[in-house]
Amino acid sequence: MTWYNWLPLLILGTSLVPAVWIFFLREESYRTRTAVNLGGAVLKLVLVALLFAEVRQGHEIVFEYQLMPKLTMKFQADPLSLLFVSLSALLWLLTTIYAIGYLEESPNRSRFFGFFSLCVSTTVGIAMAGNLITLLIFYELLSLTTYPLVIHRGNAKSLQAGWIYLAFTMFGGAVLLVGVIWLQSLGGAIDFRATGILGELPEASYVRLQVIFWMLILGFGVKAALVPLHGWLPVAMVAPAPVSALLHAVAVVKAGAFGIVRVIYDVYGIEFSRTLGLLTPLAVLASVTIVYGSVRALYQDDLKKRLAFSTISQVSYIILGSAVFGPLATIGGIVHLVHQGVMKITLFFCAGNFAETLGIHKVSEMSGVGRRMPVTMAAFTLGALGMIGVPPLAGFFSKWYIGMGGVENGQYWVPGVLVISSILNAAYFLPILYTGWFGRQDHEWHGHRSFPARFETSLSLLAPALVTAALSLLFGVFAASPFSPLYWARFIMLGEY
Amino acid sequence: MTTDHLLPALPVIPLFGALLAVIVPLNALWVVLLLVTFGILGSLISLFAVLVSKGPIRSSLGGWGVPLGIDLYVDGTGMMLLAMTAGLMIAITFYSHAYFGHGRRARRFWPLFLLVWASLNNLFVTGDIFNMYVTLELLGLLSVGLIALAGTPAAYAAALRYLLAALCGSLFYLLGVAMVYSNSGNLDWMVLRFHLVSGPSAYIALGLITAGLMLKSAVFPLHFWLPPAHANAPAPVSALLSALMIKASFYIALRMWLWVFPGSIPTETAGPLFGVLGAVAIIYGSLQALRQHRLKLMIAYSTVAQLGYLFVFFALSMRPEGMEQALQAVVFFAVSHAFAKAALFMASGAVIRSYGHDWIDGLQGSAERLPAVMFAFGIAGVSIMGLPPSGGFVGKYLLMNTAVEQGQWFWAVVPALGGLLAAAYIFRVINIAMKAGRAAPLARPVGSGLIWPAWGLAIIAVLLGLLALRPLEIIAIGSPVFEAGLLPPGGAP
Amino acid sequence: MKTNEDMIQGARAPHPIFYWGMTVGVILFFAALVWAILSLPPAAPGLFRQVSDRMPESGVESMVTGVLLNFRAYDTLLEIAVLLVAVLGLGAIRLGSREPLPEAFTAGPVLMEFLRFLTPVMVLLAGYLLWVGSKYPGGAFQAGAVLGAATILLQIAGNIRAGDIPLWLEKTVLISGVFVFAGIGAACMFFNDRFLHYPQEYAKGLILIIEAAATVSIGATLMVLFAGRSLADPHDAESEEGEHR
Repeated sequence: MTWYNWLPLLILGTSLVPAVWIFFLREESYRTRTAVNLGGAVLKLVLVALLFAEVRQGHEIVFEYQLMPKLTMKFQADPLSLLFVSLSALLWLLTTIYAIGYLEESPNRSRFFGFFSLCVSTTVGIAMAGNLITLLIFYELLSLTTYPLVIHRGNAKSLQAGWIYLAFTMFGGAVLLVGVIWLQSLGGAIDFRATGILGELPEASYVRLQVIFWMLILGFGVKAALVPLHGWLPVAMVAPAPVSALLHAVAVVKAGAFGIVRVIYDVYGIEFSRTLGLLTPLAVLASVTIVYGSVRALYQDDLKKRLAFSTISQVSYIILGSAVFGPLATIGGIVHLVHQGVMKITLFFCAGNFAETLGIHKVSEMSGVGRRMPVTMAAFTLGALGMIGVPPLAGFFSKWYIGMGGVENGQYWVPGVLVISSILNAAYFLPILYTGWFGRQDHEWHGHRSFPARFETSLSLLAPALVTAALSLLFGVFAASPFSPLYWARFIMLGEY
Repeated sequence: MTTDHLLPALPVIPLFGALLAVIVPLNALWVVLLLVTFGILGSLISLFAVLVSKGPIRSSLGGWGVPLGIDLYVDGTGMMLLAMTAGLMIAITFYSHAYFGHGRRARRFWPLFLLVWASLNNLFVTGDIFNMYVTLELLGLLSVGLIALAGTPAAYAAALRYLLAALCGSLFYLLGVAMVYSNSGNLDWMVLRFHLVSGPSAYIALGLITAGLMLKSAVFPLHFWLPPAHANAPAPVSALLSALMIKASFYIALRMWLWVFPGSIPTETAGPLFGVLGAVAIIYGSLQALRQHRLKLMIAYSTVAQLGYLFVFFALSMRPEGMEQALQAVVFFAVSHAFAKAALFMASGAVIRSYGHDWIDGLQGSAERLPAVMFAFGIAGVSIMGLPPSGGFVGKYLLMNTAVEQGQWFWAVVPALGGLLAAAYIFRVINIAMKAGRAAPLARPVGSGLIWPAWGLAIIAVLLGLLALRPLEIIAIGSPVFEAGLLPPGGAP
Repeated sequence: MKTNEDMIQGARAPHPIFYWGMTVGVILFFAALVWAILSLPPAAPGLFRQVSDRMPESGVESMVTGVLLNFRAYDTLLEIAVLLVAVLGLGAIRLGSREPLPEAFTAGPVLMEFLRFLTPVMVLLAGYLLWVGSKYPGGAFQAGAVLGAATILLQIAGNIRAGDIPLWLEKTVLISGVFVFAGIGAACMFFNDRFLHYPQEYAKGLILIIEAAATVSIGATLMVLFAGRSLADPHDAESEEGEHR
């Protein structure tokens, strides 16, 4: 086995080894911990770039390990996995920088960063999984490693949130396990292959395949916050802001959505899914989630909760895109994986900045904040506009493609749902922007810590938000270039039909 | 050194060790322990080499041969269980040394401990079902003494209850063995299948044997003696009991149902009954674990639940086509549970030592006070929950796979449900441990000697999940499907 | 939910239906056993023929002794270990026990005279049983039982008291049964070819040695079990009770 086949494992290792190392570090070893954290994150990016290079050259990168007589773990670097893994690697670096600043004086930092790194390892594992069972294993591991992050603060609300989180994810995991085992008994090892592998199964098993499909959707849908499995997400907002950023942009919800994308495209295959009649109900479910999430967001005063419901709504775009047959919708759905990631993480970074610097947790307290923290507010604006779908930000392109895909497929209600959702997004984002920039401060703002006066807040809190906001803009503006996620998504789509 | 030397060495070395432990002063005991450990490890490694190259190994004690004498026999299953025993005993040795120190209890503990090792080794190498009865007696009496080492009234009551239950179980088993002998004139479990005459006596014999073994294995509803016994014993003894000794009677039941009786009795029909009892045990045990206020009682009820998994496996192993995979699954599950459960009890022992009590509600903030201990608890808990990457996951997965392949839906869902319930009671403890706020102070600092063994076992439980392939292959050596076991001296019947 | 305290205090008497259920259960059980036994062939396929065929090789003439100490000697070794476990368990239980030490026994004149006559006879009887076990019913267990009974009588008479026996002696004698048995078995492994395979010329002698050690060991075991405590320390300092003195 040539050296580059070890790359997936190495990429996994770049956060696994730091995790173990950090667990043994004492609270006070600030510098070592920062070094290990950042070193791992940078190394991971380097290795991902290397991975890209190797794939470019046409090398097929596969790593297999037999776990049991009938169960082989498999990692592979196909276009979709590359997309997700690079997103994860980049956003991990940024979130690490952010978290270092955010948690500067809190207790239990070693524990936090240890689990943080483990969490990213499992996400990378999900991204690079080459068959369904490997995906499942890392999916369950993700539940385990994110739980300590959710309850990190240790107060009653956090613990309560932890219980709810566990209940949902464990239940989803159990359903997923049964579904996967059932599927394997029907079709053998479920390797991911573009256009899916189940199309060759006999007609007699169609009903069973349909049932299994819904089981898999249920299992993945818990993390992807599909209605009615979304209950854990708003409650989990009690976690510190880096956790919310990570969970909502990269790790958990994306993993769920990613799983669904894999199931539709690489397990069942989009054509076969249509034959089985699975796509339309899923699209309807996604649409309900989109609208429901947006409607609930309108009524939330707590900023993070509003963002949470917005996430519930936005992630279902990905599912909607995947559930609408046709190349355009596919492109839209897959690219939204990236676009939603950068936009949402911007919003959460900014929310965290407001909370830490000024003690702002609620929307009603945000009047006039733009004067105090203009840079953060600018980043927030970019992110919010992208969510609404204003061109030339990235969000616009995802919605455009999904909408066009719906039209192309004859499902005219799809663009309708998108329009309604965009209107609702505007309804709950624009007021914030308006009062933030043009309102007058009517609340006393007390920050949780004191910050250096040079910038509006600590640099490590500011820079990541700026970077991701810039990306939201750039991904949109340069959408036609061969380096954009859109181009990449198009490339993936070509393989699926 | 032939296998004729190595096979008897396995029980005899610790036996001599125990005798020496009675008269040797405590300070010099480590020499005895060292010699015993190396002797057993050396024998195991040599036997393993022979097993892998030539297949199952048989040796006639005293040169008489079956059916007159007693034969020793090792196949893949036996080897796996012997390795499990050795690994656990080594870890518990370190732990017990840290726990008991050089006090009065230590002096009483070590001979009993080594005799447990001798008995378990004997059980896994013996080929004679009456010899198994003697081993059961040994283990029962040893358990009583070990439980009583705790010295509390609760421990005495639990030990007495255990004694009565154990004697009752052994007597039923003995009656069954007598019936088997009257039926067939033979006592060797490898060969019995060819000698048993089908008929009422075979049915009653199996019924008696199984009833006795069910009582000794704490299968619902005959589990009543287990929670107080395992909870009130000293922590190293709890680890010993829950991890190893409870598997002894299960092992005998496994041999009986898969090797001895299949020819003369349609064993597939009884499978569902066991499965139902197992499923009820899983649910009942898990729910009871959730309700407990004391940590060790909770872990003990968890044992009741996990034993339910073993009997659900039973249900699936009765059919010829699934037998080998189910056998691999059962044995592997038993082994990984042993490591995880022992780690849990060791962690709880460390908790008791440092807090002075084991009331779960009083463990608030223990993640800060005892981070290493609670982390080990968590990792071992992952295996109990059956989440990847642990041995528990591999076992659970194999079970569900076998069930689905055989089209038995109920048994595919039950383990998933069991996993959820296990998650509930494990995370309950972890939740309380990670509560911020007033963390209860420690009464005593916890010695590292109590932590390292727990960690070691927890890590092994996880490693078993990653390195499962080879052990699974080994278990299959000599499985009943193959008929590859050595024929007894005297040729085929 | 039962707490530990509930379990200690003992259960209340069970509901009457429990008794009826038990009665029915026992009757059914008995019927099943009878059914099974009646179904056995009249000439049970025991191992009588194989045993009697190979008796000459075993070194003894009594079939029971042959089976116990030669053909299935391993079982007997473990059985003697069971007795050792009982004594060791006693030591463990004693640790936390708050049982008061028994009062020193004293014997009346009748008992003393009787014992003066009886004890040597019992020892002699034990020796005889040991020796004759190779041909007729007898052997280590029977001899050990008689020896044990003798020691019990002596304890009742107050002739054997705690502190009379040095600890090392007590321990050595208690383990000697298993030790000699396993030791001879191991020696066979080195001088002959396998564990407990007596060389045929020495079989009778080896069996006698094993039985002799077992006899003494069993007698000592019974002595300690009756006393309920180690006979080496008069104040029983090991137990909780002893600690409070």
